[in-house]
Amino acid sequence: MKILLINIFLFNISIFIIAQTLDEQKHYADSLFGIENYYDAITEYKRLLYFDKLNNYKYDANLNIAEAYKVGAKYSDAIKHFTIVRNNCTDESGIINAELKIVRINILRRTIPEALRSLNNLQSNYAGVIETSVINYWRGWAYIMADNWDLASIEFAKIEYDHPLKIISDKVELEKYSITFAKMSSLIIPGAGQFYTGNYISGILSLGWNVLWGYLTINAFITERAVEGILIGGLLWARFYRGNFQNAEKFAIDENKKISNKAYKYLSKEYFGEKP
Amino acid sequence: MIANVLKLTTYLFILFTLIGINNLFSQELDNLFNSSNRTAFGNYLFCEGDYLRAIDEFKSVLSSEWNDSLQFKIATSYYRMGQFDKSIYEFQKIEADIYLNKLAKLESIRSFYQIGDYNILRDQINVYFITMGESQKLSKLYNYSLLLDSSLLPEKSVYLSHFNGEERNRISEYYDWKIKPPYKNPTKAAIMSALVPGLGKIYANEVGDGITAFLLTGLFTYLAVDKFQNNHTASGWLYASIAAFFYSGNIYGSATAVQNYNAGIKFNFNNKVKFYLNERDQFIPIPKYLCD
Amino acid sequence: MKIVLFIIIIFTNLTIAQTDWIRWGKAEVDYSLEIEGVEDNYNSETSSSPLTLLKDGYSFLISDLDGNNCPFYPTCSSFFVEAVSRTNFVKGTLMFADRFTRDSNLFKSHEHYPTHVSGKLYDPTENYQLHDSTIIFYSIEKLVN
Repeated sequence: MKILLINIFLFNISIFIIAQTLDEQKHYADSLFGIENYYDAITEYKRLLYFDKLNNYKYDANLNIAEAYKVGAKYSDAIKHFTIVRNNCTDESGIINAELKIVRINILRRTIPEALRSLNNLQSNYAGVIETSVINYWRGWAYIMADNWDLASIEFAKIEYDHPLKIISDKVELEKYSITFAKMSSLIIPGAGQFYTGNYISGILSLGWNVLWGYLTINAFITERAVEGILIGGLLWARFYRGNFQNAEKFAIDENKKISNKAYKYLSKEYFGEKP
Repeated sequence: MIANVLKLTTYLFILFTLIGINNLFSQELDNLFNSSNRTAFGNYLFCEGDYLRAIDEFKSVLSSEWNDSLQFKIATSYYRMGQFDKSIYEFQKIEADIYLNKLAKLESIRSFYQIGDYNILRDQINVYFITMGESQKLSKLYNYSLLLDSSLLPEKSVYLSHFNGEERNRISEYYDWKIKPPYKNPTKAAIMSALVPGLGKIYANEVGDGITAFLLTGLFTYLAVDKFQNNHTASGWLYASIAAFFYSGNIYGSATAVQNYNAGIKFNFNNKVKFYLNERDQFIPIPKYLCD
Repeated sequence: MKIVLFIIIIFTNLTIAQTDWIRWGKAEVDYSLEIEGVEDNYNSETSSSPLTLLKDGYSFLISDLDGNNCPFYPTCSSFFVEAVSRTNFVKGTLMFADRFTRDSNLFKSHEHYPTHVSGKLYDPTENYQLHDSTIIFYSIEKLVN
């Protein structure tokens, strides 16, 4: 009986010590995470997981590993660990949270179709549990990061008519140039698309080249120098004509990207709502 | 009586179960950072391919007590991360354990092969022969490495004596290639292009470039001749100089095209040899039981 | 085919590092889109040799305006500047004439050039200096930095 008691005592002690050391280990890893030493924090969480034979820390440790990888922009590793978190959740809200974390990473690394698919699945599988506004919010962000401000605006408007992100999306959409218009106008008058997008010098030079080579080509044919006409027309005029509308299109694309980037900068630096 | 026996059995059962559980948890888990726990965790990381973290664990264990097999894993970690100079450095530190020392020497030879410094590779193999005795497999690697750089090959009969069977035929083929590679001649290409613009490019396997060169040179020569015949001297000279530009550029380009063709041939040959060697793990057995 | 496979195996095993094979820290979050930019980078702000002036003039007046014609990296004008500065004017011009011809080749075979990370065909001046030793042969599968 005595031996039994001693054993029970020893057993309890060892259980207690292990629990205590693992808890200490978790605090240690958390502290590394806290001082933004993410690489070492992951090492210590992995150590915790390795010795945690009872899987008491599986959820917390993997969650923090995933967050650390996310901060280090190691997105596939982050998703891997968020998936472990999700698979170890028993309650619906935990699963939804983990899913949303994965969605946000997909938005952040611009794998938008993946994000949209997950959001649709969440909406249909957890209807009633998850708020529609949450789905709309992240779908809006997905469209923002896809540089599709039109659709983003629609999603945010579903949450609130004058949602701040809706106002931003509308503003960006309004500011943007029409790529088709830029290209078509340059097809008709060389340099016009460049003027439309504010690239005046390039527009003038394009117009100049096209007038010069056009004149020389036509002149060559009029004075019956067909070979030279084909040469100048085919090699030079065609080249600059093509360059002209290619540039108009490219300028419009680039200017639009600049407009988007201005908005992205605002969103990352000055917008204080939830971000991916 | 029976009740007593039962009681005793139950008692013993509980006792042994508890002892069992106690042992299970007595991996000294009170300190996760002692040597045995660090080693266990390091081994786990190593087998997961998390080599840099594994190295950290092993190194901190080694700082208190030396252990050749952990050092071997450190070196192997560097090798597997593709950091061969570090793996060589770490393999060198293994001395006490005779078996591991031999493996480490072989593994650093493998690292030298991966770096591609075949001169040092051969030096290392020679040192191995002196200290550990001859090895037929290593002498094969030695002789294959002669094909991979610009070193002189021994007499064919001497060279082939290290090989037999089907391999002998293969290596004989490689030997002939190395002695007389099927290179093309850059000067010949230049002369060909001087005679017929573009012909040298076709010789160098660049048919499209050859036809283009012929058309461009021909077109501008035609225009120049046409202009001179019609007494448009100024534009005649303009087209003539454009023609000369393409003509001379093509002669030059034919020579460089052949040089690039030859570089490609050599590259493919080296790849073939390396592929053969890698398929056979460079004739060095892969260390076993690193993950257990 | 075997060789191709071998190269792929080698590179996936050895050079594609696992995330944690080098220490890393916090990364700056940046939502912005990459803008390729129509114009070449002008060099004359940093150097004012006649060659760079010529090249910048060419870029400003011609190559920025005549469309995206050059499938090579470096572009034809950069190739010329690089060729002349690495060798001499005559040799550089010959190298450029050859490059120009290869550029004009309408049936350009993509199997003859490796791909640069920019998506263009990689065609460095080193391979055309008439020295065997400077030639670096890249396999077609390799993406050159």
